[in-house]
Amino acid sequence: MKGTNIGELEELVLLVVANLFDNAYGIGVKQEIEEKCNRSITISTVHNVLQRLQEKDYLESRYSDPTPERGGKRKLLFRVTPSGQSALENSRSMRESLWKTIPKVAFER
Amino acid sequence: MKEFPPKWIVTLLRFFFKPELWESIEGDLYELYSYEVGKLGTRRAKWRYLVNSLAFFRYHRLRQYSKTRNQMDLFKNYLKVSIRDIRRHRVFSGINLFGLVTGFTVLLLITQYTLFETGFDQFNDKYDRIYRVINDRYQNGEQVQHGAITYPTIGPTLAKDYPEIETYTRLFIGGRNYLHSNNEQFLIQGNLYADEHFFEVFDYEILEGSREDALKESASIVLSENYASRLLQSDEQLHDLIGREVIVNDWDFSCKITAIMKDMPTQSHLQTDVLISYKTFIRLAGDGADNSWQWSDYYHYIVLSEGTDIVGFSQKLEQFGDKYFENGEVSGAEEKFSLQPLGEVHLDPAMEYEYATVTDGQYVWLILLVAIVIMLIAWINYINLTTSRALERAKEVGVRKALGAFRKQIFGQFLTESVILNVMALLMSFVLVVVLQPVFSDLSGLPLSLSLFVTSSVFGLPFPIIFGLGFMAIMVIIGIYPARLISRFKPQDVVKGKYSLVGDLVNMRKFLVISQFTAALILISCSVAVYRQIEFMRSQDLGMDMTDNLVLYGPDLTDFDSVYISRFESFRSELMSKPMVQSVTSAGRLFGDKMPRSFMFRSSADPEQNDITSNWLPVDHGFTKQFAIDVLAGRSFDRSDYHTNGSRVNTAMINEAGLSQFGFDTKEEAIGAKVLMADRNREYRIVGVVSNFHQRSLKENIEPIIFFPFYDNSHYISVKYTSGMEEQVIKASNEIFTKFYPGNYFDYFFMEDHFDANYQSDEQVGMISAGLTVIAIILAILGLYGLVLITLLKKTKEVGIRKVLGANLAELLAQFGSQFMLLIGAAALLGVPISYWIISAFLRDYSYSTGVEWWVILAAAFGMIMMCVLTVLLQTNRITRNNPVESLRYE
Repeated sequence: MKGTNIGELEELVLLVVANLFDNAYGIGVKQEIEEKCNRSITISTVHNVLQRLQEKDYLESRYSDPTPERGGKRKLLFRVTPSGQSALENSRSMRESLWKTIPKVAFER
Repeated sequence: MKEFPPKWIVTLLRFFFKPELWESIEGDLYELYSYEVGKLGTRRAKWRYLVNSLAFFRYHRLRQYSKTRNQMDLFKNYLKVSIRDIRRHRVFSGINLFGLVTGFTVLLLITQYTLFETGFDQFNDKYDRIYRVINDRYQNGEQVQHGAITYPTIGPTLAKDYPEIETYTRLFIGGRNYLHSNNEQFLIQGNLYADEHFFEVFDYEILEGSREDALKESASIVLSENYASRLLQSDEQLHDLIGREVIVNDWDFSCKITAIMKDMPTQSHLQTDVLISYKTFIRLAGDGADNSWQWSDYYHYIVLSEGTDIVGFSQKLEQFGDKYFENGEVSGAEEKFSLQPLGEVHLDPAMEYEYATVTDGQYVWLILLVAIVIMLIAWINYINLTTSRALERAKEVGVRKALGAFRKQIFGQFLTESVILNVMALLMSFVLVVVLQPVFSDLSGLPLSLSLFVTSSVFGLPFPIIFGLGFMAIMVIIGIYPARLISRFKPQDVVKGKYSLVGDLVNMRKFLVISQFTAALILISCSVAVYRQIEFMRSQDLGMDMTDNLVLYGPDLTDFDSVYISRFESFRSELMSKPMVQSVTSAGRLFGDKMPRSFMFRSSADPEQNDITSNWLPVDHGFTKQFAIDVLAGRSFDRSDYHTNGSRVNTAMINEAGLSQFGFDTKEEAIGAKVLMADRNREYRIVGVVSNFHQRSLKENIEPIIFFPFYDNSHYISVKYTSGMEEQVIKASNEIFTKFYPGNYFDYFFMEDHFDANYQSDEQVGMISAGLTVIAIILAILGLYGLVLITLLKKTKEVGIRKVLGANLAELLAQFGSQFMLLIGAAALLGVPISYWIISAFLRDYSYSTGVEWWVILAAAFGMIMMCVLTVLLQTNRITRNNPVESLRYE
């Protein structure tokens, strides 16, 4: 069912938005991902993911005050909603339960 | 800095994207841009900005302009109807498509040619600010020279006097030389001596070595990649050559290779494989090459600093000549200096002492114009055929309107049709262009390539963008007229059958047909005139006979010493002992070449001792006989006139054209008179007067020439042979030349080919314009054919009725053909005077021309009218021969 599962990139972006807390907008997310995860991502992709997450109701957005370095444009700031939070937690607990049940022999060489 | 981001990107984004997204997208893009400017530089950041904004295009971001999805379905319906219409009327669609495809193909190929010719030297960063200093010389108020050469002092003095000059470079053109490296000898076709600023002014790419120091020191050499690679021993790389000592010719010092440059681009007006530092030339030629106000074979390019007002600067420059040359006291002529923009160098054929590769810019634009005319003819066909058939579509329009279509929608539908046809034609012509490209490149003899379309820029914008915009604009323009017309039908009239074509349409069509055929007529008569002129020049008596002459390069590696002349004489007699060789002579210049010229001749016939300008030509005693030039008075040179020490030569000959220039009233008066070369302070006694001959092509006048009996090791050797013995004479010449002058290159060509090179550009233009003319005529006739067909189809019933009532073929022809013939007649009336005007303007450039031949224009008009009559006749005949019963059943 659409909306309950989140993809890898979506999860990453969601986590980054949560990390950035009050400065989570397009460029901020892009740079954070590039720095922390050591992968490059285009700004349009970031926008796509943010928009998709907002449609799934995991993110909410508001506008900041205009800033000069953006040519007088406002930032569209994102924040994780409670349902976004629970989606993150779900995914985390799911992973952890899977990690826990790995038999020890599986990783032995 | 200019405003960023550019408005058009923002407008584009706003046009396509939902308004609620604008702010965050634009903001993020801008922030990213200002961040990347610091990291990657402005240029790349701008580029990334564009790429990033394009990456935003996703379906979900797009604005929905239409309220309903119905639009899409309607559009599908338009497409279906259009395609059905195209398929139903194969003849008309065929004519349209054929015309458009031909038009686009011709236009694209010619555009490629135009881009190539007009894009010269644009690879230079300072392209807009580089100017060549050119020099006009006047004597007694008359212009005696308009040339690209100036004095070596001009560059440094200009730079000193005018702070606007950012930098300049000074060049001297070297001749054939030889380079010796590792005991091997390499031919240098012609080198440039260039000063240390050369690479500051021009952006030729340096592959190895230092750009700044490459031409700084005396005895420095820069080689092109291609030339340098010939010098490489096995397992050597290009950079191994840097610092290598080589010897040029027999100079008593060695030169050092300081840099390797990439081969000069084909679109560069300068072409050479070898650059030698200018200081080397000063060392060879003397200090005059640095500081003379009289030595005059030097080329200068200056770079003006950014923002210099070129008009104001040119005005300031007018004083320069008077200031330094004191009204002719210094150099023998009044000197005026002016600037030629770098972009014009390649396109200006009028410059004397031109070194650059040059084509006639007028021709280039002319050919483009013809291609555009062809395209217009194709579009006119399209408009005419579409509007003429408008009535057939009236019912469809009526039904659509009755069902609730707005006029706007009908308009859109017919515009769509024109777009479909044009795009189809364009795509097909793209394929054709790719196929025809090698053929066209071959025909034009130019290294054209499709990449020109991508790399060229017009008015500062990349060509594809210009072309795309132009194409869309024109497509809309030619689509609008029929679409407007058709969408105007009122449904109530259509249903009642009360529709007819409005008056202005008929007038418009008449106007279009007339202009089409006027253009066709002009093209026909002009290309015939060009052909006639070339034929005329070819068939003229040149005053000399240069047929069957093999030309050898002089033995320039053999010293010109005290035995040179006697050795040449034995070479000559041995060669002449061969049965196929008739005579042998050596001369400083060949027919077709520009001759050296001096401004400081004086004549014993002139008591005031004014300076006289004249060409001069070093020849030997075989010259007049070998080329069948008459000696009108006195004698030709003989062996007693020569001396290996040039300063002891004291005789000369003069041609008829020079007599009045030097103040002689009759030929006899000249014999025994003296001419003086004032700058060398040498006197020569005139021993002979020779008849006039055309030294250069018939585009030029016959100019005064003084002949001197000089030999030199660089003079060309002409071998007159028995016709048809080309192979044998080459073999024999090679043998004997190598025997007498070991170590020299044996290289040859034919005198006539050399002379004919002067007509090459005319022939090229003649060929291309003839080809284009044929295409234009075919298209115009096809259009007429279609038009006649439509008219007659509409009148099938009328024809039938007339026949039943007893009309015969002639009457029918008069009835239906006359309206077309009237149009063609009007076109002829218009076209004849315009052709006359254009042809006389074209012929004005030629000193010897056919004159405007009326019969050419009239014959062209007659031919065109006959072709049209034939078209109308065939069509009418076909329809009128139908059985009237069938005609009446038609529809």
